[in-house]
Amino acid sequence: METYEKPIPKPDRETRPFWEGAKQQKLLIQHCLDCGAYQFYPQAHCRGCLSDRLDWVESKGTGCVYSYSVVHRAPSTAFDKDAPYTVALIDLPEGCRMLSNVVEVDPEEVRIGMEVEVVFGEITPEISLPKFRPVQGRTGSGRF
Amino acid sequence: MGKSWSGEIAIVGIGESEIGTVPDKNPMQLHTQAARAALEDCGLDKGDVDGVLTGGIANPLELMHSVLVSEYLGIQPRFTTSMHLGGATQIQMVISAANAIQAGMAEVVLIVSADSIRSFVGYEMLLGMFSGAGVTEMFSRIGHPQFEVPYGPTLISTYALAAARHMHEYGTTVEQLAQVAVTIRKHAAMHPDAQKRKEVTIDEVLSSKMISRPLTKDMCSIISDGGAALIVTSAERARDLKKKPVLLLGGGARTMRERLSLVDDLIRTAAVDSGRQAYEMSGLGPKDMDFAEFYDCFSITPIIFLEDFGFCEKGEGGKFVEGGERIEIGGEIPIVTHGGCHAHCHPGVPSGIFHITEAVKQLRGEVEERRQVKGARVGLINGLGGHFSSHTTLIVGTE
Repeated sequence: METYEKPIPKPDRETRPFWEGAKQQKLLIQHCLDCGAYQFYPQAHCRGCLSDRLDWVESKGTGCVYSYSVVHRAPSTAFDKDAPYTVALIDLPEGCRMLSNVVEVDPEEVRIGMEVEVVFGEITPEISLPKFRPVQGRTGSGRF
Repeated sequence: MGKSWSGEIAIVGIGESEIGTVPDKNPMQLHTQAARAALEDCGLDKGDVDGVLTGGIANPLELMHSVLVSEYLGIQPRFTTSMHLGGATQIQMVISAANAIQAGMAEVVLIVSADSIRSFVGYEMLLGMFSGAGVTEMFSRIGHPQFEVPYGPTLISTYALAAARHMHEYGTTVEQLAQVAVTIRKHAAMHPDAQKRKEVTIDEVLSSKMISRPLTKDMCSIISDGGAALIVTSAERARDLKKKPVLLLGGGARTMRERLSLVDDLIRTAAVDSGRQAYEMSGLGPKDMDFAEFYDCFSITPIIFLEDFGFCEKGEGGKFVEGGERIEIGGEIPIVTHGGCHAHCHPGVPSGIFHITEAVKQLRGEVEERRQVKGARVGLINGLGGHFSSHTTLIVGTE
């Protein structure tokens, strides 16, 4: 397997459960036991009420493209061979939004409002990166 | 509620360093050139300065930055700090200077901001940490290291996401985006110091290299070396100085969320609230403005700001800029009269200081005749930092 040269997330005390979930193909978000808010990205305190009583729950894993851009000028040489690729904001049904890539589709065919679903790509034995593909898209191997 | 400083604080001196490509000056030298020019402009001596604010240098290794700048300049300020609000920093520094002067914590404040992100003089140690894509890579690292950076976003793609959403919701076109660049380049072509002085057409903007769709190269900031400085003091003290003071009439600021996944709405920004505060403080409104130095890091932002500052209805910014007549010098509300981040000088975060020096020059009547906004008495300047998070507004005038 070729070396993965792009930035690799380094799980920390606040985020480790998210990455452990991703390894098991689960998209985990946080749910506040005090005020009921859902949140992503994860952190130790609820951004709504500052409670530290947060639960990890599995998102439905579906979403909708809020906006997207096709990146031609990559941020670093590690991303050059992927360009052009799609960076998108995905709205999850729980009310959270994620920055991700829309994969397994020609970037020219991505649209705002497109229904997508999560797909996990193993980039290292520890890290699987959640990305999204069109719901109607062909079934992929999860490699991207 | 505190006492308003509207009309009681003034910008009395401005100065700019060498700008464009300056391969033989490090950021500290650029700061000094600008500071020295600003002091000469108003006739004050560095010994009169008791406040020093700096902000925006890209080098994260420069801790205690305002202290180091003060030391280099041989100034021992009683009021000093370095600020980090991206492109919103420069106006926040002016607001903070006004607050300090009003409170008696400083009398003469030097605001100076400069950087070397084109030549990267003085960045040898930091550059070793990156792969060679330079400033694009450096700025892409400001995203969340676990939940954004691994997906390969750039600062440019952030603004592309806003542009795409605006196009989706309001039917804004790529030609309208290109028009913003065309008009700003037209203004830059009249500015003797602008880095890019060649006018462009809509077709040329659209056929320039695609960076992050829908934004092409000509819809993005240029990359420059350089910086500028301001001297701020009380309107009372200003009376004895060399130049006609430019009064601070209103200021406002609002910061929302910085991580892209948390931005509620990319096209209805906190500039609305930042602008409302400045309008209220000054007792003025959009119709009173003779020009608007919008922070133009990408061609989408002036379209959004025309809406958020009340020059047109939400969603109509694209139509407003069409043809360019309403936003060019001589039009209804001339924007970015110096060429801005698109074409004048964009040394990264410090670029916002040129929007302020330009407003001062316009109000003093110091620019070339064809670039001069006729009868300019009051103008709006805004700043925008990071991923649409930090917004600052300043309204300045001569009376």
